[in-house]
Amino acid sequence: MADSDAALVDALRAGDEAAFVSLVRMYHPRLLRFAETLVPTRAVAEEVVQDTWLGVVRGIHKFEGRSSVRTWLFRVLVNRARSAGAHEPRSVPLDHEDALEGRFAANGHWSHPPDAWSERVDSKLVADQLAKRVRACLPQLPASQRQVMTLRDIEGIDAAETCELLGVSVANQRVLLHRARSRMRSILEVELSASRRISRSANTASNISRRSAP
Amino acid sequence: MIDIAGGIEPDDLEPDVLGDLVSLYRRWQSD
Repeated sequence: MADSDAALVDALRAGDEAAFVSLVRMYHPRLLRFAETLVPTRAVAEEVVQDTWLGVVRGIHKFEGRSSVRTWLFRVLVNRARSAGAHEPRSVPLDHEDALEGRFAANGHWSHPPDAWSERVDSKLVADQLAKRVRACLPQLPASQRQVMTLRDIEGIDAAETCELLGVSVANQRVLLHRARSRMRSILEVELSASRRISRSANTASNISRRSAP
Repeated sequence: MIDIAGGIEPDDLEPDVLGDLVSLYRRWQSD
């Protein structure tokens, strides 16, 4: 367990309200966003997250530190969501229309690994703006893809823990993540080309009005 | 790598939500 996690766990076990507040401030919005991908309505998601905090307060003495506090929080959330009637994850068929054919070998590994789409962005400003757009566009993805992308790319939870949290196989996790990233890239490309068109139209209109000015 | 999580504001939490949770926390602690 990381030192910061250990200190936090000790404080929570000692009943330190400030530690609880700090944890809530850091994670409540993130847990709520993730809960919304697991259950049908915002109201149920809010109940599930509240129930998660109860589970955290009651269960902190049993937390053994085998995972990070963050992963443990998400695990409690997933369990509470399932108790509240969240859909069980389904296996993802490895076929059809999304151009995945030939991308995976028989052993489930990439035949040709995809480009790391985020590594070509060198400007911090561009990267920050892109990160904001990715988060804003997440609701456009199907729930299962959103769940995997949130855990892997936003929360930084590793593949093995993501599989365990969501109850999906390694191959399915990989496919869901690839689909999520591919779809996100398409969404962002459409947005970018639309904004370029608007920008070009605005420049043209501005040039015309300048030329026709007396 | 883009830090997609970067920029998530810890304070992206409405004060009444935090207040409610703190009240619940105190109740859970005294149960």
